[in-house]
Amino acid sequence: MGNNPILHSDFGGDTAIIFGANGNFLRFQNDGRQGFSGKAITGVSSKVSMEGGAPAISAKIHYRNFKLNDPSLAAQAVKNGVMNRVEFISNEKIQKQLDRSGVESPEAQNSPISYAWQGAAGGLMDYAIAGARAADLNQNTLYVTGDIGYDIADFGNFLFGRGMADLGVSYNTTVIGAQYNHIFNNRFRSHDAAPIFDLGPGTFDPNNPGWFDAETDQRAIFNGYSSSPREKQRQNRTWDQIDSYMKGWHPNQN
Amino acid sequence: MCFCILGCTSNVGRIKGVYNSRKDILFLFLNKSIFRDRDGHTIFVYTYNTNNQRNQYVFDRRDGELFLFRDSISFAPDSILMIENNRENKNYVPQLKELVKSLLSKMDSLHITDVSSDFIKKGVSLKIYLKGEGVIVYAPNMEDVKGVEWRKYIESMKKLDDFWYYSVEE
Repeated sequence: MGNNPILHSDFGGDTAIIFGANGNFLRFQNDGRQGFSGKAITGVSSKVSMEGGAPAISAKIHYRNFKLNDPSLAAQAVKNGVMNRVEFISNEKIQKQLDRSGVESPEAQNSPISYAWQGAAGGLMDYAIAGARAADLNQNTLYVTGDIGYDIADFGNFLFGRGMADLGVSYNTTVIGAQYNHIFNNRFRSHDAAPIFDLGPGTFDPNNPGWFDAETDQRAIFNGYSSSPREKQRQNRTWDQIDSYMKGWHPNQN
Repeated sequence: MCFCILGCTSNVGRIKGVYNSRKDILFLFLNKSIFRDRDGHTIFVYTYNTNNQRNQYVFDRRDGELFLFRDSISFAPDSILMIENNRENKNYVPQLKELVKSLLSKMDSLHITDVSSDFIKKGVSLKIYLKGEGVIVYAPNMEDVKGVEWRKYIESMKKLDDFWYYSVEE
């Protein structure tokens, strides 16, 4: 592909994507690091000091830093002028997307696998489409949660992971289901990327999806899965069990 | 290899089909985006006027019938669809549905999955996505193509004429 996003990565610098306090894209800025990351201005503080008998004003810009789930793609989408906003998405808004998908409903909780099976391929758990349909999510926006920024499609993957955890489906089953969905519903139908989420040159390749779900998709699913309160409770219970088991243990025990 | 040759050949045929219908395409789809989800259950229709305002119409499709789920109106009447897009007009929704149905039917007849005028501000007035592989782009004036990325993109495509470009790889 001539427009492979990797080829457009700016390895030498200019690697922070800066957004203003209002969320709009401002500029790329060299932060001395390799790889792209994000920064949003949160405020400016100024200080007046006396230098040589004259007052001098110095200003400091404060940023909120975040990583990017798919740095090359996000940077390319910003360069293309298609992605131009950042939103630090609230827990309430995340919950709204999950509520809309019905994962907490008795129907879903009683038969989680079949619910996910019906929902994942283009229904209630196709969160990016459902969010765009409801005017909650927009292609031009980078969604930040847990200090990681996601484009709309990857944010859909994040919510899918979260939804699967809320359904109580194991992570392994979630990953296998995502791979199955990718192979049988995307690859064979050449529809890996939805044109509604086309972020411009170098970001959109519906015909070369590869056999397995992209690493960035899987990372988003994992992050979403791990962020679920239900999953956190399950992990805490596991640690409590380990802790309780270890209480009677001492180094000389076989 | 055999699949690729057959696939590429059929897609070039589809591209030629769209190109040969370019007058109709421009008349019907310019300043409009029409997207479908993977299962065709949700249809997004956006229209853009010269002030860069966007109207949104979102449809659900059930049993082959369209239902207007949501509209978000920035300009009225909709000069692109040529309809009175206010709910007080009892003909608004039926007219809109018939119009969208006919646009979808035209897209299907030309093996088009989606059309996009979302990149109009970048100088790309229309991007057409075909079933299988391939996209076609209408850029009426290369001087209006904004940004290095977009220029590189169009230059990487095959040329049908001075305004129309295609790629079977995307």
